[in-house]
Amino acid sequence: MPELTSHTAALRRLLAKLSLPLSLRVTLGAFAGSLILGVALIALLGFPVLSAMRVAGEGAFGDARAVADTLVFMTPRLLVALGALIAIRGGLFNLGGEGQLQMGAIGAILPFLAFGNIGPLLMPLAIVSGALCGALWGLIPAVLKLWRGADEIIVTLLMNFVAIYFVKYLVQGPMRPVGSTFNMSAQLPREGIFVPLIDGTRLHLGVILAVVIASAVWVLLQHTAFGLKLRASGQSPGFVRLQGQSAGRMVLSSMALSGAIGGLAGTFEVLGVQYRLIDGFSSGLGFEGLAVAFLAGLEPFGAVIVSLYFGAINSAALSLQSSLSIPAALADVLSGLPILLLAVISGVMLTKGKPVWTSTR
Amino acid sequence: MPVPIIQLDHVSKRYPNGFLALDNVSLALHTGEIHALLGENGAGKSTLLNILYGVHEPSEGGVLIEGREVVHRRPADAIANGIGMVHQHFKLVMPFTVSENLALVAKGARRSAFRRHADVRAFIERFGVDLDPAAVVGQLPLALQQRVEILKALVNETRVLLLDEPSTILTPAEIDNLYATLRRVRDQGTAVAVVTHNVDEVLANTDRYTVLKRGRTNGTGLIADTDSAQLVERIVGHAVSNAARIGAERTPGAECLALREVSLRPSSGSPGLHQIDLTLSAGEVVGVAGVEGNGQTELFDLLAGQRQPDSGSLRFNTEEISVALVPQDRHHEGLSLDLSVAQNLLYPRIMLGEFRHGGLLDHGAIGEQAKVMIELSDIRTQSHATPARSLSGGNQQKIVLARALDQAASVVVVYQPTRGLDVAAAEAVLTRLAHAADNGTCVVVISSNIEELIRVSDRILVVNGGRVTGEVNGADMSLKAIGPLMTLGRQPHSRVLETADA
Repeated sequence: MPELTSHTAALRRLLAKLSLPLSLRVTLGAFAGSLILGVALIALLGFPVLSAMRVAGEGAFGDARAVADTLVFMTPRLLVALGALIAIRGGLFNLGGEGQLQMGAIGAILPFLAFGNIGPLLMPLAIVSGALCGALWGLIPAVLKLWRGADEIIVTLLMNFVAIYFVKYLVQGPMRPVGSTFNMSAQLPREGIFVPLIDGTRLHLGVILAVVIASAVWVLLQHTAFGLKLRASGQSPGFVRLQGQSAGRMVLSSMALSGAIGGLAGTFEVLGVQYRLIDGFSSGLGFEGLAVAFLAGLEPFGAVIVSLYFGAINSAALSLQSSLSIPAALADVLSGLPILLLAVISGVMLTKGKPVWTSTR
Repeated sequence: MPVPIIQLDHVSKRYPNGFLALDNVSLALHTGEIHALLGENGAGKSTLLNILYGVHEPSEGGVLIEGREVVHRRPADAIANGIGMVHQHFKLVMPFTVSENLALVAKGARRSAFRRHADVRAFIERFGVDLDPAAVVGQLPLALQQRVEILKALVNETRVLLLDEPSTILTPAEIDNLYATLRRVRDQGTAVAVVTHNVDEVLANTDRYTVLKRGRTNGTGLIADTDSAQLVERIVGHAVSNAARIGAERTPGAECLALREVSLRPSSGSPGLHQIDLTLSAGEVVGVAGVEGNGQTELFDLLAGQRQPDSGSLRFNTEEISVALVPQDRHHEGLSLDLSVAQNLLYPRIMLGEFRHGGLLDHGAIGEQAKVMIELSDIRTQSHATPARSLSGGNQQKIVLARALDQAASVVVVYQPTRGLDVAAAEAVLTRLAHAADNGTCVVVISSNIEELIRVSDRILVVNGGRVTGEVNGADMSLKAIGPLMTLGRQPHSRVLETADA
């Protein structure tokens, strides 16, 4: 299929452009632009702009509950972004964050369904199982790539939909409790979930773990031999090959790690937010996480900041809907705009011959 | 003499980086002649073709077609003026048939005519080529793919046909066939220019020659008025530097690596390798000389373990043999440009487990060791933490060399080690390579700089067209002996060696 090959080659070049470290001006411009456009949109729809901005600010950071909501919205996006950036820094375009997240959610509920309520062991077991499911899901495209040269861009992208429909099947069939009419699994017992850390808020252990994982990913990339090899593989595969290192092991380990962290995004959603496996729990978190990774310039701490912004937008949108009846879909618009503007701004700067990328990472 | 069909009039070409590739070169191609362009690599042959074909514009001087000055800003302008080119790397659509490939470039009425196999067949037969118009190009042997390239260049009323090193990838019999075709092309009123470095091929098949040396014309005339000795001398020159030999007298130690009848199949842009026998021993410097593109990269890839031979065997003497490499492609293989100078220098040692502190990288120790190496190899960099990307080409090359020599490998294979270095730095590099051999390392130097090879090597292998055409050592290592082996390829060894002795 020569046509398909040339299309994926074009896609690969595009993604490679996106992976280059953008200059800070471009990124900040994209965010500022998206906020301005968002405010303009609110004004165009006839809502009071000033009170909308006040409500949005309070909704995102106004009190402990608002901050907790922001952080809870941040967590899955951050984890998917961390998973994606590990693979992409290693030269593999893992676009399968959504699928890995779905599999991680399945993994989170499996120990309970298998062993019942086994007390305090249940929660750690769920975390391990969720990470494992994500890792296995991430390993499939890696194995296909090594075994038959299947392009990981296509495979990871399409496997997202396999995973989404697999969850649908599970909650409508095997995992639906007898007698229930809802498309969801049984609820986890209190021993098996992340109980809210502060009463009256939704803040859960997963938020803290996500930030810890972000730090761990940074240490891994910058301060270990594995990270050095990973970065070298991504930037100069020819160099690594000539150093006599096999690309295969790096493909397997980076995709497994990437899938495991993506899986934890789904696991933490189940343990900290939903307490059960439920159809449609994600609504595209995996794809937003991918946007976070690229907007963050594939830097772990950058991903913390960008996902915090995405979290704030989402909790602000909830407040806007409840106090001013502004549709919460505004959050989707504001999440999509930065990456769109990123493309527009860098395109304009490129045609004017201004530097879009910083010289080095 | 009639007005030449195309002419370069006192052309100079200076590249943006300041390199003067052509210096006041004049050239005239005549209808009804095959004109050979000879010269070593870097002599300016490719630049000259690129100017004729509109890829580059001359910095000074002009291009004349039938005596009138023309400006070719892009290849499309040259094609419109009836110039066709056959590149070293084929530009064919492999899944398409011969007819489809030809129709793709045909203009006007000819494009629709080329939908009919009969018309294509008539066109092909005009040049005496035996080729099925319905054959899928990707399934044809290399020599016939090349023939499709030639036909492609002739589709649109071509008056000048340029070929860049067409014979490199061909066997001797195929070379004869190629020139049979080119003679048919010539006899139908097209001027032909062929870039090559093979003197015997030129003498047997062409009408006129021009030799380029370091961007200048070093002789031109009729083939009938010249001979092999004169051409070889014009190509390689006879100025041998009297610079002293580098390194002590050495006696090779234990055998560490052996190639037995190793072959690689030729492919587009690669002559492959043919029946290579080579034994490498500890404590010797083996030079590999040849015009670039004659099997050196293939040999490097084999020694580097990047490719496996299609036939024959490559045997390491013991398990402990390690190979350190200085590759040709500094930017993609020699360095990881976004990593720091220190990380590039110490990458192999880091990967072997050195410089760890509690499982993490000990950046302090890496920096200290890197500083020592930066000092020793005189690498000019702001700091050891600077990304390798921001260093100049010569300093980047010094990183790659410093790393290879630091690895304590039993075999070091270096490709064009002094390219991009100034005289003093080149001297330092050669000295360090020689010292490594004195201390028992087997050093393989692949280079087209023969003077350098003579100074540093214990013996020199000469390659041409993917074959070893001879080996010289001791006092026999001279430009006079090596030049003919580089430029008179394709004969059985004995005949070449006789020529070399003569």
